[in-house]
Amino acid sequence: MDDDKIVNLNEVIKRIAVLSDVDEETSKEFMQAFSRVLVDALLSKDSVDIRAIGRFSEDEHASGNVKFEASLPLASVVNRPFSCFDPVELDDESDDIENASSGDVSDAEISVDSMQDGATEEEALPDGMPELPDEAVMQKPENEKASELFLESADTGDAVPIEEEYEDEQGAVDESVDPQWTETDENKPEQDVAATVRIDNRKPLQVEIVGGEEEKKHHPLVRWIFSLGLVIGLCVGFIAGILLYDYIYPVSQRDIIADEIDDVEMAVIEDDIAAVDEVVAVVSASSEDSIYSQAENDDTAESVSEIVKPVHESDKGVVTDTVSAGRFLATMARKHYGSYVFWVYIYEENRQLISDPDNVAMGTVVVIPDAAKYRIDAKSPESIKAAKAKAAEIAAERRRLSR
Amino acid sequence: MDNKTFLGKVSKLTGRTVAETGQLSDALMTVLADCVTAGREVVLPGVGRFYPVLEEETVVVDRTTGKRLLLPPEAIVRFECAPSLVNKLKEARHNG
Repeated sequence: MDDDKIVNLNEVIKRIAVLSDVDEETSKEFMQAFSRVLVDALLSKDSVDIRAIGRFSEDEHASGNVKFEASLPLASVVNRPFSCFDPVELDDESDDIENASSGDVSDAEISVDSMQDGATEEEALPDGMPELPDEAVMQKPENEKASELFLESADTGDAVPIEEEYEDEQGAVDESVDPQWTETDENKPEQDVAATVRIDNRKPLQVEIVGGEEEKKHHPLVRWIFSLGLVIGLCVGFIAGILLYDYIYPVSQRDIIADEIDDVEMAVIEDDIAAVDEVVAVVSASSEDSIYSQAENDDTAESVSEIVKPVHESDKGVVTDTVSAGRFLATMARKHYGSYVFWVYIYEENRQLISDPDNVAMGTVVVIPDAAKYRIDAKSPESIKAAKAKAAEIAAERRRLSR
Repeated sequence: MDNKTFLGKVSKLTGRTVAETGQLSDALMTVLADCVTAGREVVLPGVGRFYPVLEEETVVVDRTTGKRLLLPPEAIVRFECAPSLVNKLKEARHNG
Protein backbone atom coordinates (compact mmCIF):
# COMPACT_ATOMS: atom_id res chain seq x y z
CA MET A 1 0.00 0.00 0.00
CA ASP A 2 1.38 3.39 -0.94
CA ASP A 3 2.21 5.76 1.89
CA ASP A 4 0.59 8.61 0.01
CA LYS A 5 -2.73 6.85 0.26
CA ILE A 6 -2.58 6.60 4.04
CA VAL A 7 -3.34 9.54 6.27
CA ASN A 8 -1.86 9.02 9.69
CA LEU A 9 -2.95 10.52 12.96
CA ASN A 10 -0.49 13.40 12.86
CA GLU A 11 -1.79 14.63 9.59
CA VAL A 12 -5.33 14.40 10.86
CA ILE A 13 -4.39 16.40 13.92
CA LYS A 14 -2.82 19.11 11.82
CA ARG A 15 -5.78 19.37 9.54
CA ILE A 16 -8.22 19.55 12.40
CA ALA A 17 -6.17 22.27 14.00
CA VAL A 18 -6.27 24.28 10.78
CA LEU A 19 -9.96 23.80 10.23
CA SER A 20 -10.94 24.56 13.80
CA ASP A 21 -8.48 27.34 14.31
CA VAL A 22 -6.94 25.71 17.37
CA ASP A 23 -3.44 24.64 18.19
CA GLU A 24 -2.21 21.16 17.45
CA GLU A 25 -2.06 20.27 21.10
CA THR A 26 -5.76 20.86 21.52
CA SER A 27 -6.43 18.90 18.40
CA LYS A 28 -4.28 16.05 19.64
CA GLU A 29 -6.08 15.98 22.99
CA PHE A 30 -9.37 15.91 21.16
CA MET A 31 -8.34 12.96 19.04
CA GLN A 32 -7.07 11.06 22.04
CA ALA A 33 -10.28 11.70 23.95
CA PHE A 34 -12.31 10.85 20.87
CA SER A 35 -10.64 7.49 20.46
CA ARG A 36 -10.80 6.70 24.14
CA VAL A 37 -14.50 7.44 24.54
CA LEU A 38 -15.33 5.58 21.36
CA VAL A 39 -13.38 2.47 22.36
CA ASP A 40 -14.78 2.49 25.89
CA ALA A 41 -18.32 2.72 24.56
CA LEU A 42 -17.75 -0.15 22.17
CA LEU A 43 -16.16 -2.29 24.86
CA SER A 44 -19.18 -1.69 27.04
CA LYS A 45 -21.28 -3.04 24.17
CA ASP A 46 -22.78 0.35 23.59
CA SER A 47 -23.32 1.89 20.15
CA VAL A 48 -22.08 5.39 19.49
CA ASP A 49 -23.85 7.96 17.35
CA ILE A 50 -21.58 10.77 16.27
CA ARG A 51 -23.60 13.26 14.32
CA ALA A 52 -20.87 14.43 12.01
CA ILE A 53 -19.25 11.05 11.37
CA GLY A 54 -21.70 8.20 11.78
CA ARG A 55 -22.80 5.35 13.94
CA PHE A 56 -20.49 2.75 15.44
CA SER A 57 -21.94 -0.45 16.85
CA GLU A 58 -20.74 -3.93 17.61
CA ASP A 59 -21.50 -6.50 14.95
CA GLU A 60 -23.58 -9.25 16.50
CA HIS A 61 -22.87 -11.72 13.69
CA ALA A 62 -19.11 -11.25 13.59
CA SER A 63 -17.44 -11.38 16.96
CA GLY A 64 -15.12 -8.46 17.58
CA ASN A 65 -16.16 -6.58 14.48
CA VAL A 66 -17.61 -3.08 14.49
CA LYS A 67 -20.33 -1.94 12.15
CA PHE A 68 -20.10 1.59 10.82
CA GLU A 69 -22.80 3.62 9.11
CA ALA A 70 -21.67 6.94 7.75
CA SER A 71 -23.69 10.00 8.62
CA LEU A 72 -25.66 11.84 6.01
CA PRO A 73 -23.26 14.75 5.64
CA LEU A 74 -20.23 12.51 5.37
CA ALA A 75 -21.90 10.19 2.88
CA SER A 76 -23.13 13.04 0.74
CA VAL A 77 -19.72 14.64 0.56
CA VAL A 78 -18.01 11.37 -0.30
CA ASN A 79 -20.55 10.50 -2.97
CA ARG A 80 -20.64 13.97 -4.47
CA PRO A 81 -19.07 12.91 -7.82
CA PHE A 82 -21.87 10.41 -8.36
CA SER A 83 -24.71 12.35 -6.81
CA CYS A 84 -25.82 13.67 -10.20
CA PHE A 85 -26.76 10.20 -11.40
CA ASP A 86 -30.18 8.82 -10.73
CA PRO A 87 -31.50 5.29 -11.07
CA VAL A 88 -32.58 4.54 -14.61
CA GLU A 89 -35.47 2.33 -15.46
CA LEU A 90 -34.51 -0.31 -18.00
CA ASP A 91 -36.71 -1.72 -20.72
CA ASP A 92 -37.69 -5.36 -20.41
CA GLU A 93 -35.95 -6.28 -23.67
CA SER A 94 -32.98 -4.03 -23.33
CA ASP A 95 -29.85 -5.23 -21.62
CA ASP A 96 -27.73 -2.44 -22.94
CA ILE A 97 -26.49 -0.87 -19.76
CA GLU A 98 -24.18 1.46 -21.63
CA ASN A 99 -27.01 3.02 -23.59
CA ALA A 100 -29.04 3.38 -20.46
CA SER A 101 -26.17 5.02 -18.60
CA SER A 102 -25.10 7.14 -21.53
CA GLY A 103 -28.56 8.57 -21.71
CA ASP A 104 -27.93 10.19 -18.41
CA VAL A 105 -24.79 11.94 -19.51
CA SER A 106 -26.65 14.98 -20.66
CA ASP A 107 -28.65 14.98 -17.47
CA ALA A 108 -25.46 14.71 -15.49
CA GLU A 109 -24.00 17.62 -17.39
CA ILE A 110 -27.09 19.66 -16.85
CA SER A 111 -27.11 18.88 -13.20
CA VAL A 112 -23.43 19.66 -12.93
CA ASP A 113 -23.91 23.00 -14.66
CA SER A 114 -26.81 23.85 -12.46
CA MET A 115 -24.76 22.95 -9.45
CA GLN A 116 -21.97 25.13 -10.61
CA ASP A 117 -24.25 28.06 -11.24
CA GLY A 118 -25.80 27.86 -7.85
CA ALA A 119 -22.64 26.89 -6.09
CA THR A 120 -23.12 29.28 -3.31
CA GLU A 121 -26.42 27.72 -2.38
CA GLU A 122 -26.40 24.20 -3.74
CA GLU A 123 -22.85 23.31 -2.99
CA ALA A 124 -23.16 24.36 0.62
CA LEU A 125 -22.21 21.85 3.19
CA PRO A 126 -24.86 20.53 5.53
CA ASP A 127 -26.05 22.67 8.31
CA GLY A 128 -23.81 22.85 11.27
CA MET A 129 -20.63 22.83 9.28
CA PRO A 130 -18.18 25.45 10.43
CA GLU A 131 -17.15 28.22 8.14
CA LEU A 132 -13.44 27.96 7.39
CA PRO A 133 -11.27 30.93 8.17
CA ASP A 134 -9.40 32.75 5.46
CA GLU A 135 -6.18 31.01 6.38
CA ALA A 136 -7.62 27.69 5.32
CA VAL A 137 -8.46 29.13 1.93
CA MET A 138 -4.96 30.44 1.36
CA GLN A 139 -3.22 27.16 2.19
CA LYS A 140 -2.81 24.67 -0.58
CA PRO A 141 -3.20 21.09 0.49
CA GLU A 142 -1.42 18.35 -1.39
CA ASN A 143 -4.50 17.16 -3.18
CA GLU A 144 -6.30 19.40 -5.61
CA LYS A 145 -9.63 17.95 -4.65
CA ALA A 146 -8.99 18.80 -1.07
CA SER A 147 -8.56 22.40 -2.07
CA GLU A 148 -11.88 22.32 -3.86
CA LEU A 149 -13.55 21.16 -0.73
CA PHE A 150 -11.96 23.89 1.29
CA LEU A 151 -12.98 26.51 -1.21
CA GLU A 152 -16.49 25.33 -1.41
CA SER A 153 -16.89 25.26 2.26
CA ALA A 154 -15.39 28.69 2.44
CA ASP A 155 -17.81 30.07 -0.08
CA THR A 156 -20.86 28.95 1.67
CA GLY A 157 -22.60 31.47 3.77
CA ASP A 158 -25.30 29.21 5.00
CA ALA A 159 -23.50 27.72 7.94
CA VAL A 160 -25.47 27.89 11.12
CA PRO A 161 -23.51 29.07 14.13
CA ILE A 162 -22.32 26.05 15.99
CA GLU A 163 -22.61 27.65 19.37
CA GLU A 164 -26.35 27.73 19.16
CA GLU A 165 -26.56 23.99 18.59
CA TYR A 166 -24.18 22.84 21.27
CA GLU A 167 -25.49 24.85 24.20
CA ASP A 168 -26.29 21.88 26.32
CA GLU A 169 -25.52 23.75 29.54
CA GLN A 170 -28.45 25.99 28.99
CA GLY A 171 -30.49 23.14 27.77
CA ALA A 172 -32.00 25.19 25.00
CA VAL A 173 -31.34 22.89 22.12
CA ASP A 174 -33.40 19.80 21.61
CA GLU A 175 -30.93 17.19 20.46
CA SER A 176 -33.72 14.78 19.69
CA VAL A 177 -34.44 16.77 16.57
CA ASP A 178 -31.12 16.61 14.84
CA PRO A 179 -31.23 18.93 11.84
CA GLN A 180 -28.62 16.97 9.99
CA TRP A 181 -30.56 13.77 10.25
CA THR A 182 -33.91 15.22 9.24
CA GLU A 183 -35.09 15.64 5.70
CA THR A 184 -37.31 18.65 6.10
CA ASP A 185 -34.62 21.27 6.59
CA GLU A 186 -35.31 24.17 4.32
CA ASN A 187 -31.70 25.19 4.09
CA LYS A 188 -30.52 21.80 3.01
CA PRO A 189 -28.57 22.14 -0.24
CA GLU A 190 -29.51 20.25 -3.33
CA GLN A 191 -26.84 17.63 -3.11
CA ASP A 192 -28.04 16.78 0.34
CA VAL A 193 -31.46 16.22 -1.09
CA ALA A 194 -29.99 13.96 -3.68
CA ALA A 195 -28.01 12.22 -1.01
CA THR A 196 -31.13 11.90 1.04
CA VAL A 197 -32.90 10.35 -1.87
CA ARG A 198 -29.98 8.07 -2.47
CA ILE A 199 -29.79 7.04 1.13
CA ASP A 200 -33.47 6.36 1.05
CA ASN A 201 -32.89 4.29 -2.04
CA ARG A 202 -30.24 2.42 -0.22
CA LYS A 203 -32.81 1.24 2.21
CA PRO A 204 -34.16 -2.13 1.32
CA LEU A 205 -36.61 -1.80 -1.53
CA GLN A 206 -37.43 -5.46 -1.68
CA VAL A 207 -35.05 -5.70 -4.57
CA GLU A 208 -33.35 -8.59 -6.05
CA ILE A 209 -30.07 -8.15 -7.79
CA VAL A 210 -29.76 -9.47 -11.27
CA GLY A 211 -26.15 -10.58 -11.17
CA GLY A 212 -25.29 -9.92 -14.77
CA GLU A 213 -26.89 -13.08 -16.00
CA GLU A 214 -28.80 -12.83 -19.21
CA GLU A 215 -32.45 -13.43 -18.80
CA LYS A 216 -33.87 -16.27 -20.73
CA LYS A 217 -35.82 -15.10 -23.70
CA HIS A 218 -38.73 -16.96 -25.17
CA HIS A 219 -37.89 -17.66 -28.78
CA PRO A 220 -40.88 -17.14 -31.00
CA LEU A 221 -39.73 -20.08 -33.11
CA VAL A 222 -40.56 -22.43 -30.25
CA ARG A 223 -44.10 -21.14 -30.16
CA TRP A 224 -44.49 -21.58 -33.91
CA ILE A 225 -43.22 -25.14 -33.78
CA PHE A 226 -45.59 -26.00 -30.98
CA SER A 227 -48.57 -24.48 -32.80
CA LEU A 228 -47.70 -26.23 -36.03
CA GLY A 229 -47.38 -29.58 -34.30
CA LEU A 230 -50.73 -29.07 -32.63
CA VAL A 231 -52.48 -28.33 -35.93
CA ILE A 232 -50.89 -31.32 -37.63
CA GLY A 233 -51.90 -33.58 -34.78
CA LEU A 234 -55.49 -32.40 -34.93
CA CYS A 235 -55.68 -32.99 -38.68
CA VAL A 236 -54.21 -36.46 -38.43
CA GLY A 237 -56.59 -37.34 -35.64
CA PHE A 238 -59.56 -36.07 -37.64
CA ILE A 239 -58.65 -38.10 -40.70
CA ALA A 240 -58.00 -41.18 -38.64
CA GLY A 241 -61.35 -40.80 -36.98
CA ILE A 242 -63.13 -40.60 -40.31
CA LEU A 243 -61.41 -43.72 -41.60
CA LEU A 244 -62.08 -45.61 -38.42
CA TYR A 245 -65.74 -44.67 -38.48
CA ASP A 246 -66.05 -45.75 -42.08
CA TYR A 247 -64.42 -49.07 -41.24
CA ILE A 248 -66.65 -49.76 -38.28
CA TYR A 249 -69.86 -48.50 -39.85
CA PRO A 250 -69.66 -49.20 -43.62
CA VAL A 251 -72.19 -47.69 -45.94
CA SER A 252 -74.68 -50.51 -46.61
CA GLN A 253 -77.05 -50.97 -49.48
CA ARG A 254 -79.91 -50.61 -47.12
CA ASP A 255 -78.80 -47.10 -46.23
CA ILE A 256 -78.65 -46.14 -49.88
CA ILE A 257 -82.05 -47.63 -50.48
CA ALA A 258 -83.47 -45.79 -47.53
CA ASP A 259 -82.21 -42.53 -48.97
CA GLU A 260 -83.39 -43.27 -52.49
CA ILE A 261 -86.79 -44.69 -51.73
CA ASP A 262 -88.10 -41.36 -50.59
CA ASP A 263 -86.87 -39.68 -53.75
CA VAL A 264 -88.38 -42.30 -56.02
CA GLU A 265 -91.69 -42.36 -54.23
CA MET A 266 -91.94 -38.62 -54.35
CA ALA A 267 -91.21 -38.61 -58.07
CA VAL A 268 -93.87 -41.22 -58.76
CA ILE A 269 -96.46 -39.43 -56.73
CA GLU A 270 -95.73 -36.11 -58.35
CA ASP A 271 -96.00 -37.55 -61.86
CA ASP A 272 -99.42 -39.19 -61.46
CA ILE A 273 -101.12 -38.38 -58.21
CA ALA A 274 -104.58 -39.43 -59.36
CA ALA A 275 -103.48 -42.85 -60.58
CA VAL A 276 -101.80 -43.58 -57.31
CA ASP A 277 -104.91 -42.72 -55.37
CA GLU A 278 -106.98 -45.12 -57.42
CA VAL A 279 -104.52 -47.92 -57.06
CA VAL A 280 -104.29 -47.37 -53.34
CA ALA A 281 -108.04 -47.51 -53.10
CA VAL A 282 -108.19 -50.74 -55.07
CA VAL A 283 -105.40 -52.22 -53.04
CA SER A 284 -106.95 -51.36 -49.75
CA ALA A 285 -110.28 -52.83 -50.81
CA SER A 286 -108.84 -56.11 -51.84
CA SER A 287 -105.89 -56.22 -49.53
CA GLU A 288 -107.14 -59.30 -47.74
CA ASP A 289 -107.54 -61.36 -50.91
CA SER A 290 -104.41 -60.32 -52.81
CA ILE A 291 -101.63 -62.67 -53.31
CA TYR A 292 -99.09 -60.22 -52.04
CA SER A 293 -101.01 -59.67 -48.86
CA GLN A 294 -100.77 -63.37 -48.20
CA ALA A 295 -97.13 -63.12 -48.98
CA GLU A 296 -96.70 -60.29 -46.51
CA ASN A 297 -98.15 -62.43 -43.75
CA ASP A 298 -95.63 -65.15 -44.35
CA ASP A 299 -92.37 -64.93 -42.43
CA THR A 300 -90.23 -67.07 -44.70
CA ALA A 301 -88.98 -66.22 -48.18
CA GLU A 302 -89.94 -69.68 -49.49
CA SER A 303 -93.66 -69.02 -49.27
CA VAL A 304 -93.22 -65.98 -51.46
CA SER A 305 -91.35 -67.92 -54.07
CA GLU A 306 -94.14 -70.54 -54.22
CA ILE A 307 -96.77 -67.95 -55.06
CA VAL A 308 -94.74 -66.28 -57.74
CA LYS A 309 -94.68 -67.88 -61.12
CA PRO A 310 -91.44 -69.65 -61.94
CA VAL A 311 -89.02 -67.92 -64.28
CA HIS A 312 -88.30 -69.34 -67.66
CA GLU A 313 -85.40 -71.63 -67.37
CA SER A 314 -84.02 -71.25 -70.84
CA ASP A 315 -80.59 -69.62 -71.14
CA LYS A 316 -81.76 -67.50 -73.98
CA GLY A 317 -82.65 -63.97 -72.89
CA VAL A 318 -81.09 -64.31 -69.45
CA VAL A 319 -79.84 -60.97 -68.36
CA THR A 320 -76.78 -60.88 -66.14
CA ASP A 321 -74.79 -58.22 -64.48
CA THR A 322 -71.49 -58.09 -62.64
CA VAL A 323 -70.92 -56.63 -59.22
CA SER A 324 -68.21 -53.98 -59.25
CA ALA A 325 -67.25 -50.74 -57.54
CA GLY A 326 -70.39 -48.63 -57.26
CA ARG A 327 -72.39 -51.36 -58.91
CA PHE A 328 -74.27 -53.63 -56.60
CA LEU A 329 -77.77 -55.08 -56.23
CA ALA A 330 -79.54 -51.82 -55.54
CA THR A 331 -77.97 -49.99 -58.45
CA MET A 332 -78.69 -52.96 -60.73
CA ALA A 333 -82.29 -52.86 -59.63
CA ARG A 334 -82.42 -49.19 -60.36
CA LYS A 335 -80.96 -49.79 -63.78
CA HIS A 336 -83.08 -52.74 -64.83
CA TYR A 337 -86.33 -52.10 -62.96
CA GLY A 338 -86.27 -48.36 -62.35
CA SER A 339 -86.12 -48.48 -58.57
CA TYR A 340 -83.63 -49.53 -55.92
CA VAL A 341 -86.26 -51.37 -53.88
CA PHE A 342 -86.42 -54.26 -56.31
CA TRP A 343 -82.94 -55.46 -55.38
CA VAL A 344 -84.65 -58.04 -53.22
CA TYR A 345 -85.72 -59.97 -56.29
CA ILE A 346 -82.22 -60.00 -57.69
CA TYR A 347 -81.10 -61.35 -54.34
CA GLU A 348 -83.83 -63.95 -54.44
CA GLU A 349 -82.81 -64.98 -57.93
CA ASN A 350 -79.18 -65.38 -56.90
CA ARG A 351 -79.45 -66.74 -53.39
CA GLN A 352 -77.03 -69.55 -54.17
CA LEU A 353 -74.34 -66.97 -55.03
CA ILE A 354 -75.05 -64.26 -52.50
CA SER A 355 -74.81 -65.01 -48.80
CA ASP A 356 -74.92 -61.42 -47.60
CA PRO A 357 -76.75 -58.93 -49.79
CA ASP A 358 -74.87 -56.04 -48.07
CA ASN A 359 -71.43 -57.45 -48.87
CA VAL A 360 -71.38 -58.96 -52.34
CA ALA A 361 -67.95 -59.88 -53.61
CA MET A 362 -66.54 -57.90 -56.49
CA GLY A 363 -66.88 -59.64 -59.84
CA THR A 364 -69.87 -61.72 -58.89
CA VAL A 365 -72.10 -62.29 -61.91
CA VAL A 366 -75.73 -62.17 -60.93
CA VAL A 367 -78.78 -63.01 -62.96
CA ILE A 368 -81.27 -60.25 -63.45
CA PRO A 369 -84.70 -61.87 -63.33
CA ASP A 370 -87.48 -60.86 -65.61
CA ALA A 371 -89.67 -58.13 -64.21
CA ALA A 372 -92.81 -60.09 -64.92
CA LYS A 373 -91.62 -62.98 -62.83
CA TYR A 374 -91.92 -60.98 -59.64
CA ARG A 375 -94.50 -58.48 -60.96
CA ILE A 376 -91.98 -55.71 -60.77
CA ASP A 377 -93.33 -52.30 -61.64
CA ALA A 378 -91.50 -49.16 -60.55
CA LYS A 379 -94.60 -47.08 -61.07
CA SER A 380 -96.78 -49.28 -58.97
CA PRO A 381 -96.91 -48.40 -55.28
CA GLU A 382 -98.20 -51.88 -54.62
CA SER A 383 -95.17 -53.40 -56.20
CA ILE A 384 -92.91 -51.07 -54.25
CA LYS A 385 -94.70 -51.92 -51.05
CA ALA A 386 -94.27 -55.60 -51.73
CA ALA A 387 -90.56 -55.10 -52.34
CA LYS A 388 -90.22 -53.26 -49.06
CA ALA A 389 -91.97 -56.04 -47.25
CA LYS A 390 -89.64 -58.48 -48.88
CA ALA A 391 -86.66 -56.47 -47.73
CA ALA A 392 -87.99 -56.51 -44.17
CA GLU A 393 -88.33 -60.27 -44.33
CA ILE A 394 -84.79 -60.64 -45.55
CA ALA A 395 -83.54 -58.41 -42.73
CA ALA A 396 -85.43 -60.40 -40.11
CA GLU A 397 -84.06 -63.61 -41.53
CA ARG A 398 -80.52 -62.33 -41.38
CA ARG A 399 -80.95 -61.23 -37.77
CA ARG A 400 -82.12 -64.68 -36.85
CA LEU A 401 -79.19 -66.24 -38.62
CA SER A 402 -76.69 -63.91 -36.97
CA ARG A 403 -77.73 -64.89 -33.42
CA MET B 1 -24.80 6.58 23.29
CA ASP B 2 -26.10 9.54 21.38
CA ASN B 3 -24.13 12.42 19.99
CA LYS B 4 -24.77 14.68 22.92
CA THR B 5 -23.53 12.15 25.45
CA PHE B 6 -20.50 11.35 23.38
CA LEU B 7 -19.50 14.97 22.98
CA GLY B 8 -20.13 15.54 26.64
CA LYS B 9 -17.72 12.81 27.61
CA VAL B 10 -15.10 14.02 25.17
CA SER B 11 -15.44 17.59 26.36
CA LYS B 12 -14.92 16.50 29.94
CA LEU B 13 -11.71 14.74 29.02
CA THR B 14 -10.41 17.65 26.98
CA GLY B 15 -11.62 20.39 29.31
CA ARG B 16 -13.38 22.11 26.44
CA THR B 17 -16.96 23.12 26.03
CA VAL B 18 -19.39 20.90 24.22
CA ALA B 19 -19.70 23.47 21.48
CA GLU B 20 -16.00 23.51 20.85
CA THR B 21 -15.90 19.73 20.95
CA GLY B 22 -18.65 19.63 18.39
CA GLN B 23 -16.72 21.97 16.21
CA LEU B 24 -13.69 19.74 16.41
CA SER B 25 -15.89 16.73 15.59
CA ASP B 26 -17.17 18.46 12.50
CA ALA B 27 -13.64 19.28 11.51
CA LEU B 28 -12.76 15.62 11.86
CA MET B 29 -15.66 14.79 9.55
CA THR B 30 -14.36 17.27 7.02
CA VAL B 31 -10.92 15.73 7.14
CA LEU B 32 -12.34 12.26 6.74
CA ALA B 33 -14.50 13.28 3.79
CA ASP B 34 -11.62 15.11 2.18
CA CYS B 35 -9.24 12.19 2.48
CA VAL B 36 -11.73 9.53 1.48
CA THR B 37 -12.88 11.52 -1.51
CA ALA B 38 -9.25 11.75 -2.57
CA GLY B 39 -9.00 7.98 -2.37
CA ARG B 40 -6.90 7.96 0.79
CA GLU B 41 -7.29 5.99 4.00
CA VAL B 42 -7.47 7.58 7.40
CA VAL B 43 -5.87 5.46 10.09
CA LEU B 44 -6.67 6.12 13.73
CA PRO B 45 -4.44 4.04 15.98
CA GLY B 46 -6.34 1.90 18.41
CA VAL B 47 -9.61 2.53 16.61
CA GLY B 48 -9.43 1.55 12.98
CA ARG B 49 -9.22 2.91 9.51
CA PHE B 50 -11.62 4.68 7.23
CA TYR B 51 -11.26 3.83 3.57
CA PRO B 52 -13.20 4.58 0.40
CA VAL B 53 -15.11 2.01 -1.60
CA LEU B 54 -16.65 2.45 -5.02
CA GLU B 55 -19.75 0.37 -5.56
CA GLU B 56 -20.22 -0.41 -9.23
CA GLU B 57 -23.48 0.20 -11.00
CA THR B 58 -25.90 -2.70 -10.67
CA VAL B 59 -29.20 -3.78 -12.13
CA VAL B 60 -31.88 -4.48 -9.60
CA VAL B 61 -35.52 -5.47 -9.82
CA ASP B 62 -38.05 -3.62 -7.76
CA ARG B 63 -40.36 -6.32 -6.51
CA THR B 64 -43.16 -3.90 -5.83
CA THR B 65 -43.36 -2.66 -9.42
CA GLY B 66 -41.51 -5.42 -11.21
CA LYS B 67 -39.37 -2.92 -13.10
CA ARG B 68 -35.66 -3.19 -13.66
CA LEU B 69 -33.57 -0.32 -12.44
CA LEU B 70 -29.99 0.57 -13.18
CA LEU B 71 -28.45 1.94 -10.01
CA PRO B 72 -25.55 4.31 -10.64
CA PRO B 73 -22.16 3.79 -9.03
CA GLU B 74 -21.75 5.06 -5.52
CA ALA B 75 -18.78 6.09 -3.46
CA ILE B 76 -19.04 5.17 0.19
CA VAL B 77 -16.77 5.27 3.19
CA ARG B 78 -16.20 2.14 5.24
CA PHE B 79 -14.61 1.50 8.54
CA GLU B 80 -12.38 -1.39 9.53
CA CYS B 81 -11.70 -2.03 13.17
CA ALA B 82 -8.11 -2.09 14.38
CA PRO B 83 -6.79 -5.53 15.40
CA SER B 84 -6.16 -4.37 18.95
CA LEU B 85 -9.74 -3.21 19.29
CA VAL B 86 -10.99 -6.46 17.79
CA ASN B 87 -9.10 -8.47 20.38
CA LYS B 88 -10.44 -6.30 23.15
CA LEU B 89 -13.96 -6.71 21.93
CA LYS B 90 -13.56 -10.47 21.72
CA GLU B 91 -12.21 -10.61 25.25
CA ALA B 92 -15.00 -8.43 26.50
CA ARG B 93 -17.55 -10.63 24.79
CA HIS B 94 -15.95 -13.76 26.14
CA ASN B 95 -15.85 -12.40 29.66
CA GLY B 96 -19.04 -10.83 29.34
